[in-house]
Amino acid sequence: MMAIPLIYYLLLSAFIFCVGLAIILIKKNGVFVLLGIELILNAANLNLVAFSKFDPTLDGQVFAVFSVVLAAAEAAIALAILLNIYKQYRSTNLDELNQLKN
Amino acid sequence: MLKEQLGQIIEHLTYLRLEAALIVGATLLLVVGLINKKNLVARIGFAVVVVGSLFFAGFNEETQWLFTKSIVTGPMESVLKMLFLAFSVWIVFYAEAEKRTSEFYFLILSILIGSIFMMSANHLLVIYIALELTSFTGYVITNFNFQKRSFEAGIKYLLFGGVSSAVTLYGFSIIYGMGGSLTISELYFNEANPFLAIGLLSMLAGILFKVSIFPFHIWTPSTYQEAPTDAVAVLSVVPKIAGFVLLNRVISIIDMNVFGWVQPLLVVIGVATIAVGTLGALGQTNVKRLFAYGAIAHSGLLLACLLIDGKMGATAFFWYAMIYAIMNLVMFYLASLYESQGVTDTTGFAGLVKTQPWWGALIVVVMIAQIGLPPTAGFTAKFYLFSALWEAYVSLSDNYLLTYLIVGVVSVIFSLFYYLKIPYSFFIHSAQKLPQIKFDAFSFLLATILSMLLLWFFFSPELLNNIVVKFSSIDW
Repeated sequence: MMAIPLIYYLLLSAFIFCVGLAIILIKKNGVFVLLGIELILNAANLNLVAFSKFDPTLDGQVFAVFSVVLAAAEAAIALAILLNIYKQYRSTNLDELNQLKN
Repeated sequence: MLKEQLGQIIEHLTYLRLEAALIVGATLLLVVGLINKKNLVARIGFAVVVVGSLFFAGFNEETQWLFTKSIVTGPMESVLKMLFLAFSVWIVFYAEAEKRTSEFYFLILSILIGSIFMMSANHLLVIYIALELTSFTGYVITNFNFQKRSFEAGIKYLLFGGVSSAVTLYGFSIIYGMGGSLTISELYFNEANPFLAIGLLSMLAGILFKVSIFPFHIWTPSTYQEAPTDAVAVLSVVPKIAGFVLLNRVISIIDMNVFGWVQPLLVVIGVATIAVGTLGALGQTNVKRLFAYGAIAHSGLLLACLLIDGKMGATAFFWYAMIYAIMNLVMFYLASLYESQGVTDTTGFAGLVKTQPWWGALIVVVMIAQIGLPPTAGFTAKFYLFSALWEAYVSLSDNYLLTYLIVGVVSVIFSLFYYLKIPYSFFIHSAQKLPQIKFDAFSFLLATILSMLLLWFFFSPELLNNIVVKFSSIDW
């Protein structure tokens, strides 16, 4: 089996990063912004795992496992807050959260 | 072999007694909260955990590298650890009507643990976990008023924080690939590699977010406005100082000859932070929002300490950080007292001089310290900072440092206009109907003692200077 060269992994992860950033910037729904954050985290994880192929200590893979766990924790907190937002505002549209102003 | 490694782990764990005590104490506090739901029990439990952990503290004269260099603890870290604990125990006296008190204090302890690890981290994984520990607890604690507006502040904080920490993780992955290591002190940025530059910029994003430096300061005003005031007192001091210590460690591995743009970049964002904080505060009417913009301006000034090498920089940083901590402790204490009586706007203080002249005097002392005028310790801190900047400018003749100095001094003049808003309203304005505000004797005593500390450190700075002498050997 032929190993896939590193550059393909990096290009894919850069693409996922850009998609995630675009979603964060374009979408107005809070849940979609969370999805964008998760995409960026996954792009980073892909990078870490790809790079750790060249690292005998496999630090990158360990890092990726930790970051998956932390991403899940963050999503749990975010969904809990979004649920409360939905109860109060009847919407998760971020543009309608405008109570706090200068 | 295995026995040797185990022995080393156990030996290194003894350096982390304080953190271990905090973690065990935080877990116990959560369990106690399940059994007994009284506010008083949780408050006493929190105080016992914090003070008890202080007994495990030790001072390390020399820098110790623990766990294959992933955690570092030196003189600066070991002193700051103790001061964080000594600082945050006072929040039990804040006037807050909290729900779920034991969980609240558990989260405060988590912020402390995260900040301590963030400050001593020397490994990208430890940095990431510590950053996220402080961030996550910050997100949750912002919602602790359980009102419509606090949820809004919470989701804003979470989304900004989530994006910046995700970008930081991406930066870590690139640095790992290019540098071949996750340990910071083994990396050295001395190669003009564009990937390294991208990784470095992304990595800085997350750390600058924690210390609320422009352009990552957007979360600060709404979070400080809506979070419980005792949480704000901790959030505005502990993670910020820890973040600056971490930022200093990260900056020190960059070869400034190759990455020549890093220093101008830091100067530009520092100056922009001061400008945004100072100008933003001018139009505020909500007290805590005004203080938040003031805290942003203080971040800009603290960043200047990192640009000064050697002992001068460390001294200026320590002085500014300590005085900033005391000032914020008193300021938010006063804010929480008045908030509990329904005063949240600067106009709410109108005419109070008739009934509470002494409280007016305390407010004036704290505000003058925030501005940085004598005879308060705020002046001493700003004096150390500006004289260190001037010395660095004279020895290096670096025009960037001169710009920083000028902007810093000008910001002091501007800060007169917004910090004096509350005393102005208090003493000059008169109200049609005076609100009935009365505080008990204990809060009176506590506020007086804490404000007098600000005056005392101006007249006898020996105590802080004796601590600073211990840092003369550190690599700043």
